[in-house]
Amino acid sequence: MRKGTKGLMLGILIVLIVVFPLFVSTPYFLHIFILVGMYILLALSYDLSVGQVGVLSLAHPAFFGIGAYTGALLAVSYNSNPFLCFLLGALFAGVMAFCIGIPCFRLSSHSFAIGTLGFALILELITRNWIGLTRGPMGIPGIPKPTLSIPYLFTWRVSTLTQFYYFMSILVGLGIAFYLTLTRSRVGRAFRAIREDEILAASAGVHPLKYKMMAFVTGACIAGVVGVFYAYWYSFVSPEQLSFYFTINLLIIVYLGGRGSFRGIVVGAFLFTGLPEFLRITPQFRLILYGIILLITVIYFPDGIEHIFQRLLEPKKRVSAFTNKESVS
Amino acid sequence: MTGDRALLRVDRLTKRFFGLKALDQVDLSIYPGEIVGLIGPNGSGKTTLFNCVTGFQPHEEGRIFLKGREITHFAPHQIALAGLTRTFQNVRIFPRLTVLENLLLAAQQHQEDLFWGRLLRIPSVRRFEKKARERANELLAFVDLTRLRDEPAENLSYGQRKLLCFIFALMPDPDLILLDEPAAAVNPAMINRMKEYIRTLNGFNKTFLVIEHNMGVVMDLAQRVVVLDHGEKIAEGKPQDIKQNERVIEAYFGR
Repeated sequence: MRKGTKGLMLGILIVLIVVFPLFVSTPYFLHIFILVGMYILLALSYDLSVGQVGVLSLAHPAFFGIGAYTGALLAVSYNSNPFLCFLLGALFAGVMAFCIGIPCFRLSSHSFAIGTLGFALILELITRNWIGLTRGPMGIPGIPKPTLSIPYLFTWRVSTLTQFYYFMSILVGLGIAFYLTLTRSRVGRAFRAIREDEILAASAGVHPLKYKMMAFVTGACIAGVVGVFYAYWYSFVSPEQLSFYFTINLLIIVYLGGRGSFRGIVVGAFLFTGLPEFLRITPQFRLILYGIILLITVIYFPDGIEHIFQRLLEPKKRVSAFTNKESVS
Repeated sequence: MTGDRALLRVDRLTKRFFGLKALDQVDLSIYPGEIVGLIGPNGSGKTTLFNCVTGFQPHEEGRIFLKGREITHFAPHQIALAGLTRTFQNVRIFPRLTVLENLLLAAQQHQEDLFWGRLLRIPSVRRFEKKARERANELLAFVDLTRLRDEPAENLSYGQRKLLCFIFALMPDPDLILLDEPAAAVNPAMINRMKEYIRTLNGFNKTFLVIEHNMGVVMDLAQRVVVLDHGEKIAEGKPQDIKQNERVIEAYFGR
C-alpha cells in the first residue's frame, strides 16, 4: 500500500516534469529550473563529503570547474563525442580529488577545510593565468551543442532550452537514484558511522580514510559531470565558474536543507536558487543575506529543513539532530 | 613465533609520553579460552596497553602477535579485521544509527571487500547481510535488547548502551575481546548480568581480556590476573594469589 502510493507519487512527479515546459510561457522559468537541477546535483554530491562522512571540503566548485573546462576544451578543440566529454570530465575531477585528498586527509578536520580551499583558489588562479590552455579570463566561447547518439538506437541533438531542460531532468533523476542507492547501502552506513565516531568505526574494521576518500572522489565525479553539462548549456566557460562564491551557495543549500538529508537538500536547492532569481535581490546584498542565513541556520537550526520535515511527518519520533556538537567540526 | 599457542602475545611493549614511561617492557600472553583480568591503580597504563595493542596509539618498542601473526604497527581497522575487537571505557556507540545498524556495521567489513558489489547488492552481499542480521538478532536476544532493535542508539540508557557496546564487539565473531571496564558505573543487577554474559560466552570458547576496577568482578571472573603499576607489570597469577601479593597491596595502598 505504502509502496504503491510512493510509486504513484513518483509517477505523477515524472509526468509533471515532462509536461512542465508545455505550460511555461517564458523561457526564463525553464532556465531557472535547469539551474535548480544543477544545484540539486551539486549539493547532493557535495553532501556526500559534508553530510555523509562529515568532512568539510571547500573545493567542490573546483571539481565542477574541472569538469566544465575538460568538457569545453574537448568539445571545442577535438569536437569530441559528448559521452566521452562527460566521462573524461567526471574522471579528471575524480582523479584530481584523489590527488588532493591524499595530502589533505592527513590534516585534521578544520585544516582539511583550509587545505581544500587552498587547492580551489590555486585552481582558479591556474585557469586565469594559463592562457595557452584556458585562454585566461577571456574564457572558452563557442562550445558546440551536444549530439547524444548511440549508433542504430537514437540520436538526440540537445540545443534548445527545452531540450536542455529534459537533459537536466534525466541527469537529476540518475543523480538522485545514485545518491539514494549509495547512502542506503552498506557503504552509506559506513559513511555515517565515520561521521558519528571515527575511532569506533575503525575499531569495527571500517577504514576511515578509505571511505572518506570514496565519498570525496565520488562527489567530485558527479560535480565534474555537472560541469560538463554546464559547459554545453552555456556554451561558454570562464574562471568565474570556479569562484568561491559557488562554495558559499552549496554550503547554504546543504546546511539549510540539513546535512545528510536528501529531501532537505532538494528543497534547499529549490529555495536557494529559485528564490533569489525570482526576488531579484541585488547581488551585493545577496551575499550578505546568505552569510546571515548560514550563521542563523548553523547556530539555531543545525538540522535545517530536515528538522521541519521531521516535525511535520513524524512528530513523535524525532530521531536525529546535529545537536551533539561534534559532526563536521 | 611459529608453534606459539598464545592467542595474543605482547612482547616487551614500551610506550612513552614525552619521556614518561606509560608502559615499560610489558610482556603479556593470553591463551585461547581464558578470561584474563587486567588491574592496577589509576594511571597505571591499563587503557594505554589496550590502545597500543589495538593500534589506536603508536608505541615505541615491542612487538605484538595475534594467533602467531605479527600485528605490530597495524592500523586499528586491520587489527579488528585480524580478529581482535575491543570496547571503550567511555561507552561509544553511533548515536544516530539504530541499534541494528550499529551491529550490522560492526560486522560489515569482515567480509571480502567489493565496493560495487556492495553498492549493487549482488547476491553474495545480500546473503552476508542476511547472516549478519540473524547474528545481530541472536546477540540482541542474548542480552535482552530485542525490543530496542530499531531505536536510534542515542535513545538508549547508559546500561543499555553498555550492553550494545559489548555485543558490538562480539558481532564480527572475534577471537579475542578486550573489555575496558565492563562493570563500571552500572547498577549491581547489571554487573551480575554482565558477568553472566561473559561467563556464558567464555563457555563457548570466547577469550577475554578485562580491565576492571571492581575487584569482586575480577576475582569472580578471571582465571588469571595481571597487575600493572606505573607502566610495569608487577604481578601475574591466580586471583587468590594476587590478593595476597605484597607488591600489589603496596601499589594499591602504599607501604
